[in-house]
Amino acid sequence: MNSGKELNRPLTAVLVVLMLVIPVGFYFFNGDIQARGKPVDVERIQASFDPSEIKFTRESLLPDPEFGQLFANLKLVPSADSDWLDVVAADCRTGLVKRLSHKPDGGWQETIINQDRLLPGPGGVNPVDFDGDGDIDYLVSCIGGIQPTNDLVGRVCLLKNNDGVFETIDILKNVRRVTDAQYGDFDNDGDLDLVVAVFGGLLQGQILYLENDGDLNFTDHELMNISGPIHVPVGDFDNDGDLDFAALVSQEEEEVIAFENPGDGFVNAKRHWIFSSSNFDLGTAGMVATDLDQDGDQDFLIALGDNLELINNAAQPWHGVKWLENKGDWNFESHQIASVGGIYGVAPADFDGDGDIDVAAVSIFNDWSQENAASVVWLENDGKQNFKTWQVASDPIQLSCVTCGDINNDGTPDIVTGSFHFRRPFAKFGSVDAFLNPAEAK
Amino acid sequence: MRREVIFTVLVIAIEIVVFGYLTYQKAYQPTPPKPNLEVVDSFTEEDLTYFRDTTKTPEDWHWLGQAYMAAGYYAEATATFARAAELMPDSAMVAFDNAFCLSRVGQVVQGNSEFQRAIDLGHPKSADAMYFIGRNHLRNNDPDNAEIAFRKAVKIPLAKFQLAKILYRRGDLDEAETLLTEVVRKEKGTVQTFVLRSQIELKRGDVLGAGKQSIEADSKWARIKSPFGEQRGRLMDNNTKFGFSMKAKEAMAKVAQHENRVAREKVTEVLDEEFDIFVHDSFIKLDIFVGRIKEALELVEKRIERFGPNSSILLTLGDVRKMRGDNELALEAWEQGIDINSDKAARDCCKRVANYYGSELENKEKSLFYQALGAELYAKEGILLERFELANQQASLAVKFNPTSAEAFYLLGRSELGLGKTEAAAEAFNRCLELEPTHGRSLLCLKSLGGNQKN
Repeated sequence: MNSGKELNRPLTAVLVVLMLVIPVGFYFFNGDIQARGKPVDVERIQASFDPSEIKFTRESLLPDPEFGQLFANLKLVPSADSDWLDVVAADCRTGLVKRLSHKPDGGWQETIINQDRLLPGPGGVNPVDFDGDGDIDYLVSCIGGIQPTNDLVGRVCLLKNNDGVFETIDILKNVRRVTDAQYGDFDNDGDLDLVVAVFGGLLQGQILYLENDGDLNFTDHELMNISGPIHVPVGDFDNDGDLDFAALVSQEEEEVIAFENPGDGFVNAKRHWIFSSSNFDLGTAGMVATDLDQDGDQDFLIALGDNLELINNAAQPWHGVKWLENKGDWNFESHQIASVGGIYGVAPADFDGDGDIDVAAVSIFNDWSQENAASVVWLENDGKQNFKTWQVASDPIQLSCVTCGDINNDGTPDIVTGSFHFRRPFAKFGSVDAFLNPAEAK
Repeated sequence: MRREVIFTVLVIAIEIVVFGYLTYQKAYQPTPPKPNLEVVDSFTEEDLTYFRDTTKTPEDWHWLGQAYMAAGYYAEATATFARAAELMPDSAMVAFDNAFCLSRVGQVVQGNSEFQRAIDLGHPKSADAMYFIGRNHLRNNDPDNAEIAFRKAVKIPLAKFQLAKILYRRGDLDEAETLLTEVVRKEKGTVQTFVLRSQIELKRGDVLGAGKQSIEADSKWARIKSPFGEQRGRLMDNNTKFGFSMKAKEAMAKVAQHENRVAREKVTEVLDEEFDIFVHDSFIKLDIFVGRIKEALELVEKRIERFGPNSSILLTLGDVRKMRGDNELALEAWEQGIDINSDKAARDCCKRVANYYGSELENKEKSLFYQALGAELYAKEGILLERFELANQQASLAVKFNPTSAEAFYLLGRSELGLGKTEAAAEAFNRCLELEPTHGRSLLCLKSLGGNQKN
């Protein structure tokens, strides 16, 4: 028995030590225990969509870039010497307006239009025979550069075509950043006048009407002092035979103000607030006029997706595309027809050849941390203005502008996009890219 | 076996079960979400991975949420803040950050309940939280509840301004104006107040009144202090505490401190990772400072290739070319700088060109032309900054050097207007209109003075 007791003594001692060591050890090492549980759930915004049943194929119109390009606007114009359409691109980075044409042996060639002078951040370009001499001139709106500033860096320039040689003429300067300039004979005197969106810098923007006095002299009338006018599409919105215009005002306003032309221009225009959101973070980024429901009057498509308040942007649930349906007598009804993060540009076209108007849209600020986030989508119209979103591409990313037209002469409208890539991720670069609609889509 | 042995074994067994369970609990706690780090640079990737891997305490979760938000991983940040809020249910700070992040991704209802929780927990910036609640109601297209929130946050001038804006949109112009007057008392000379006043006048049909407010707004730079600005500042600050932004900040600091060797290493390290315009610009400065002009020229050209031309970089291009003795190319760059923008750098380009024509080419006429242009730009800047004495002095020089410039007379008029000399202003505007009868801003100013254009 004694020997058993003696045997138990060291065992007891060991057990007592162990009894003390376990809690002390736990106390000391508790902090080092690495959690290995499941990661907490993350709720993400929908960034990708069903792949398009129409199989668009990508074709780059410029060589693959090594870094982000800054194309702000695109237009299609008939080629001077063929049956093809050319693409005219406002390159905000280089200060150049570029014409991209089909090469006779395939591929695309680039021609610089403003060879005489660099432009301060060309942000919008409109082909127009401004002087009525039978050739195409270009009206260019300039934002002054890509860095926001409150300085008077904005301009409206005319690239005047003198037998194929373009001369850059300043029509408007000493204003803040200009995002759009549109034309029309608003006062019915036989020459072209302008309406201009001066987006502004800090908070001072303007909506201007430039009355043409002849010889490229204009009297500028400030129609409104308001921060953030971005686009000013022109059209006969009340079907009374003269040209009106509407201003999409972003920044802290988020509204569309239509200016009704009494017949002699906009000095005494009546203003109609045709869309107004109390969501001052709605992120309106662009607007085009089109008769989406083909009922004989002009509606508007609005791109929602601007989000530059912070160093890193975030796609919002209300981003996407809105349709302002013209109900007559300056009443417009708003419909959200797609929800896609960061939409910056929209363009109408009948992609599936079923006779109704579909819509192409591009995203600049989708959630690019998601692998397959959509950068190009098209919205299929079921004929009753119900739309299904189809994903066309997730590469290139960060696209700001889009236009549609049959650029490969196969009878179906294609999508042409411009890249404005200045934020992370620095990958999947694009420049001017076409997404060709196969002829079978007719 | 003796009783004490059995007892000790029993205690050990219980300890093993209890502490084992606690260890298991701890080891299988939820872990932070993993963002897709392929879309960021390697510095940020490394730091965020480290933060994530070492997140243990509730405070770590809170910081990780802030880091994710600063790096733009908003979805991951909201999930991380939500976990931090579970672990620290009494923390008003966590509730506020969670609310702010939820609001950033458009989850406005959830954001508002978190802002309300922050207020209930006694957050020191409760009024700011209430302002954000109002903004979220607006984002939810609910101006009525926004109004209630802004009235509660009314000690914040911007909340009062938002109220005025809601009332303006509702058509209650008088009350909107009364509120605006109260805002102006606290936030004098702020641009938004003039812009909204202009819109109110326009809605009333007073085009001239709207024009007057518009002219005032034109030279205002101050904005109403915003709670959002403060949060944005916090975010920017957090952003420079890790990853690429921290490295970029350190590199630029070394350039500023003229620690040239270390600065060069750091700047190169940053630029090898990602092209950052600000770091690149400081590299140009560094090369100029140490006399590496050829390298500086290459950097300037690379900068123009990546970000395009503007008067500021063209000014530098001209300077660098001049240092290399390429005088004609320098002149070309400066002239492009004048042509492309109308800002401070363009003004400096004017000085360089005027000087070059005057002293090196002895072309007095051209030198005077550019002096006048420079003075115009200076005057313009003076007007925008409401430094009317300076603007007046420069505009006077501009009209002296170039008496055919309508813009110079307009600027002279604007500066006289700013100094309260209405008669002199009207005379200058009329001179401008004699030279350019369609000068819209002169017409507007003259109208606002109640005067007519001289025939």
